[in-house]
Parts: sequence; structure tokens; C-alpha cells
Amino acid sequence: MDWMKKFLGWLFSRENLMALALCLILILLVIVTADYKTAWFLYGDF
Amino acid sequence: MPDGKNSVRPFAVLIKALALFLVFNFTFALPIFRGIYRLSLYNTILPGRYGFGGAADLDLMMAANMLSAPKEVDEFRVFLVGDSSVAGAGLDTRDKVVYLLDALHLQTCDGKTIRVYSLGSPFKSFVKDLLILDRAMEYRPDLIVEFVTLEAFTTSRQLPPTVIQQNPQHALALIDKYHLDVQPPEGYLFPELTQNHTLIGERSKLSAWLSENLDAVRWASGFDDRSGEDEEGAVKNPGDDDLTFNGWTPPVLPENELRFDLMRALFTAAGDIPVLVVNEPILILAAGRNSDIRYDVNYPRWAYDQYRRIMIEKSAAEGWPYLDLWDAVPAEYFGNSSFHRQPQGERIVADQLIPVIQTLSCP
Repeated sequence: MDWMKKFLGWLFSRENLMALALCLILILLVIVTADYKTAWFLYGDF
Repeated sequence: MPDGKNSVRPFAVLIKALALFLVFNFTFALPIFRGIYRLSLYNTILPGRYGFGGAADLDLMMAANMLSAPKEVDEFRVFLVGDSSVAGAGLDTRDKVVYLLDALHLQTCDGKTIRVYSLGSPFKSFVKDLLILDRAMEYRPDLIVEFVTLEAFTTSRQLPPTVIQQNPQHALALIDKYHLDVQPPEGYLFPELTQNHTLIGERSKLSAWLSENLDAVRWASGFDDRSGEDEEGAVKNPGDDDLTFNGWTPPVLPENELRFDLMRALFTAAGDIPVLVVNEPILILAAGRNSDIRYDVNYPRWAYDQYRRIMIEKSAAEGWPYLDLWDAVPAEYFGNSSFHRQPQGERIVADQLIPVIQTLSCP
């Protein structure tokens, strides 16, 4: 199972983990910067 | 030379991150991810709200509301449906009519506990109420209380609510399902139909979902947002001397133009579940300029008086359980709008509803 060990080593390499972290930051940025009024009273509906 | 596990190439990190982002972005469009919006801290590890949160998306609205918690075996569910006065705009939760009724834990004659839930949301519109009720029927009500007022019977009030605009697919399906005679302006309910469901396409809804779940934590920690509070002293006057209402002029209110067809659709949505129709209290100003011809800023007296007569006749003719609370709340117990009530006004409405709900819960 040497190949498995190597594959997991590559998969969880520091570079890949940093890429995943950057990706998650990008996703979070995309979400939290979206324009959405989350309170209906901000729409002026009464 | 550094080994492969610990070496980091900044450009490779960037490329891999972008590639991963693209994978996540397009994978999110798979139908399986539509269910994410039903995942909520509300009603799972944190308590649900006595009503809706801040979002106008149907999935998120339902997830935040206590009604989406599992129904108990010995529970008799009452849904209060209507506008922002039913939602208790501007009030602390403990002052709202839904809380006052629910906290009593009234019993039906066969020993079930009466639990009360608010489906109130801003705007007087039967189409908006129908949109919400149609969705909420899956939470198995035993009695529906529909709060109405004259403005809800006008065609012009039906489609503007934000809840309709934020749920265009549901709204269009609803119009088709109940054969509603309402005509959305060209393109009015269209834009979201073409919206893609990738992560980028859904970012607004995801943002609302995240915000709702953060609100769940604030709610559980005791923060009460008193949503929809009006400005001080906004409309405590009867308005000008204009006698027209919705473009109609005295002396006769055109009964055939009142949207009873839309109200009947609510009965259709309710199916076998009884619907109590409540004519909600209005602000009655007895003094001041034009108070002889207008009740408040919304209603000329001639129009509202005829509406009340028509409602009494219709409900008797069609066998609707009907409760007319139009003058139940004194003017001083209204808030800073012509229909939002203060805590004392909510107490009066709750007291009036208690015997009727108990009667209807024991057929």
C-alpha cells in the first residue's frame, strides 16, 4: 500500500491544504459580500 | 531539495485554489444542494422564532419559524396568517399576540394543547398570504386564522410584497395552481427563473442563509430585534379630505372588484382545515381634521363601512367563521402606524381570539 501512502501524502500536502484554505476564503468572500437585505423591514413593506 | 509534502509553490497554490473554487461552484448547482437551505440552527439545536426571521426567502422563513419543529402528538396547531400587524412589527416577542396566545397552552376539549404560530409577514395581500400558507400546510395546521382588512381586497396590493418578488418560481407556480386572476407586469417575476444555481448564482441566498443562522444564535441568547419599528408619530392623523379609495369614489364600493376570489383560494389551500376570518382592528380617529369623513390615513369612512357590511353578508352567506374586530382596539393602543398595535392592543386582540379559537378547536 505504498502508493496509497504516497497519494495521501500528496493529497494532504501543505500546498494542497493551503489551496483548500484559500478556496474556502474565496467562497466565504463571495457569500458575505453578496447584496442581500436580510430584514424585511428594510424593504419598506408594511 | 525540499520534499513534496512540505514544499509550497505560491503560484501552484493559487491555481489549485481557483480550480477547487470552480469545482465547488459548479458542483453546487446539483439538485442535492438545494436542501442546504432547510438546514438551520433554528429548531434543531436552537429554538425557533415566534414567526419569521428577517429573510424573505420561503425556505429560510419556514426554517426559522417554530412551526417547522416536529408536531407533537397531543398538539393542536393554530396558524395566524396576515400582514405585519400579525407579525407584531415593532413589538417585543412577549408582547405579540402569537406569544400571548401560545403561552396560555389552552386545551381543546379532547385534551390537546393549543399551540399558536405566526405566519404574519409585511403587506396586506392575499396572494402573499396564500404563498406562505400553501407552503406552510406541510406543517399540518389544525386551524387557520386569516386576518383581513379592506386593503387586502384590492388588486393593486397583491403582487408588490417582497416575499413574492423573492420567490418568483413559487409565485408563478402558485398562480398556476390556484388559477389566480393576477397579471404580473412583464418581467416582474421573471429574473430569478434564469438564475443559475451555481455557488456564485446562489450567493445572495447563501448570504441570507448564513445571516439567518447567525441571527439564530442572537435569538437564542435573548436578543429581541423588534423588527419593523415605525418612526415616532408617523400617521396619527386621518389624512387629507380625499374621499377616494383605491381609485373608487363614493357612494358605492364596487363589491365585484373586491378580490374575494383570492380569499377563496386561501380556503382552497386550507382544504379540510377550518379557516377563521378575522377583520383586523383599524385605527379609529374620532377627532381632528377630516376625522368625520375618514377613520384613518388608509380608509375613508364610506368605503370601510360598506366593506364591513359586505364582509358580514358574505361570511354569513358562505358559512365562513368570522370575527369582526375592526373597532376592538382604542386609538391610544395603536403604535406609530395606523395598524401596528401596542402591547395593550395585542392583549385585547388575544383576549377576543381565545374563546373563538377554543370553540373552533372543539367541533
